Amino acid sequence: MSTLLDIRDLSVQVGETPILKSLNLQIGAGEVHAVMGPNGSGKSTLAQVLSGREDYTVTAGAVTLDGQDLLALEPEERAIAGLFLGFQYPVEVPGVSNMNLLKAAVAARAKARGEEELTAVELMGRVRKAADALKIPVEMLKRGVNEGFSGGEKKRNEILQMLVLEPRLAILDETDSGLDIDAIRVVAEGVNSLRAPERSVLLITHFQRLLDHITPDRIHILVDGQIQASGGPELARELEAEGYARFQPQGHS
Amino acid sequence: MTASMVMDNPRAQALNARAARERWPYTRVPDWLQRSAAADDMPRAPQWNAPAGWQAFDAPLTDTAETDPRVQALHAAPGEWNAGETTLEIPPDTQGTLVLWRHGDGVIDHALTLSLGAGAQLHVVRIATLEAAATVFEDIRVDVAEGAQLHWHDYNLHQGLSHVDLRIALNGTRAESHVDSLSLLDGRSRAVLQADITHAAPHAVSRLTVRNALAERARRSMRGMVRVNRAGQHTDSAQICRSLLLSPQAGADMRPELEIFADQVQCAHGATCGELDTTALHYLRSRGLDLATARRLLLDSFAMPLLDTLPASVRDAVRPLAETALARLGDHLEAQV
Repeated sequence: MSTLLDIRDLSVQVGETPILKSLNLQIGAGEVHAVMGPNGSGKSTLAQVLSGREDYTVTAGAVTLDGQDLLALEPEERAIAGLFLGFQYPVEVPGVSNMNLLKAAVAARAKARGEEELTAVELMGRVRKAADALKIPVEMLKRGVNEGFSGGEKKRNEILQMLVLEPRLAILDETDSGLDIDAIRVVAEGVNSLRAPERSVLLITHFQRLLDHITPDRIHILVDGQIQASGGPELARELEAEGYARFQPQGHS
Repeated sequence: MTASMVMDNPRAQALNARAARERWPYTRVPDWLQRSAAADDMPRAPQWNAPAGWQAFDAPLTDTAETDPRVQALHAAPGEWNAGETTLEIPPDTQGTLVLWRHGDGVIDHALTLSLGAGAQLHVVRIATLEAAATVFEDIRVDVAEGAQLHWHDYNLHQGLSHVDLRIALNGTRAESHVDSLSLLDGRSRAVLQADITHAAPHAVSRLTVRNALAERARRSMRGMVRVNRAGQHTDSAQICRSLLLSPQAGADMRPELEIFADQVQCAHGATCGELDTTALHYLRSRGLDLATARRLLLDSFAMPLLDTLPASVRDAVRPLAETALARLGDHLEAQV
């Protein structure tokens, strides 16, 4: 199986504070990986850095997506290369409808890839299908992006965008936090429906409960900016029982 | 400047007349106003023509059905001084839309007095599309009687200087005043709003919503004074100012103020000032939108709420103007990088 995302010795700092310390992570095409870790371990930093957020400084290391140097690309170029980040805190953009954002995002991809643009009918069909699957009323899509949406609605809207944009690699940053059990199930079904041999998913989460519905191929424990342990799905259950204490690096516990 | 130069220069004459009357002694007259012609390198203001079929401004409002807007277009050619005044009475229980369009490259000095009868509903849309050497002074007074509603929509999409004194008296019970002001400015343009809203009767409502997106050396000054008289019990009032500074040289000076002499009132006021939200920009870019498109969407998002409140008959005419101005602001951001 070919490697889709390859992170080698990635070190990142915010200001003068090192957050990620020589982190290594490989995700094969078609795989679902989960990164778990306590607060402040660097999980969200990892997601933001991969998406190209400017406030983080990469001090060492390399990241490739399908062989392409990800760190050399602008955020929008990463998106067009097939990366999608589901935000932990999706942003409200009042006055710009969800539909218009999707239209602009799909058009940008078509333009960059030299493909023909989707017709309005084709796009609407794709959006309606995703909205139905996620139980999002189509009327909501006429409203401003995330405008007045509840926390759960915002997270479902992220998954909707993901389904419409069909990324090669979807990174979901704590998409499960703030969701009730039913919403988690709906979100998980959305993610599972995207699973395909050429597509990969990176789930970033605190808790095991999302993993009850999406079975990952690999779980990584991120503590203090490094992957301290990796394993199969059983690792999540161990964590739930024992906490992160035993994964603390030497000299910390 | 010698006396004869002043006599020859209508702009200087107008400014001196103003200073003598002390209507606004605080406006610093920019140097470029003294120049006799517009600089060639100033970007042009968006042009606009009232749609065909819109009626003469002082045609009477007689029925309660929404009719075509009435347009007052004031124009001053370079070197020209267009001064005058208009008084309009809006009969009780009528409704209508007035459009005040200010354009040109000279001096406009105009007074407008409006009186809304009980139960009248009036939308006033002020559009300023001025050229770089234009100067506009407006002295506007509105009396609002019982149950009447004034909806004031103000669009500064211009170069040059615009100074508006807007005095609104809510004289009757449940009178309402809703003022929306959107300024999309660049170059060395300057827009001043002196809003003075008096609650002189109980249960009156006032809203003052100001949004400014300012590029290059543009400046926007606003003083919003809400006065609640002793009679103004159960006043419901809010002033909200938001400014986007798109260049380090742009400036916003927002002063929402309150003067309250009644004890049962609800009055809110606030002002914020900042740049485009970097998190929101990143969010849009992470969806594949390039930086220019993402900025443009955020600018639209900032401005559009103040167009949505327009009556439908005017919205389609004003929106393209705002879009032109927004596109220009977007271009300035592009050029900065």
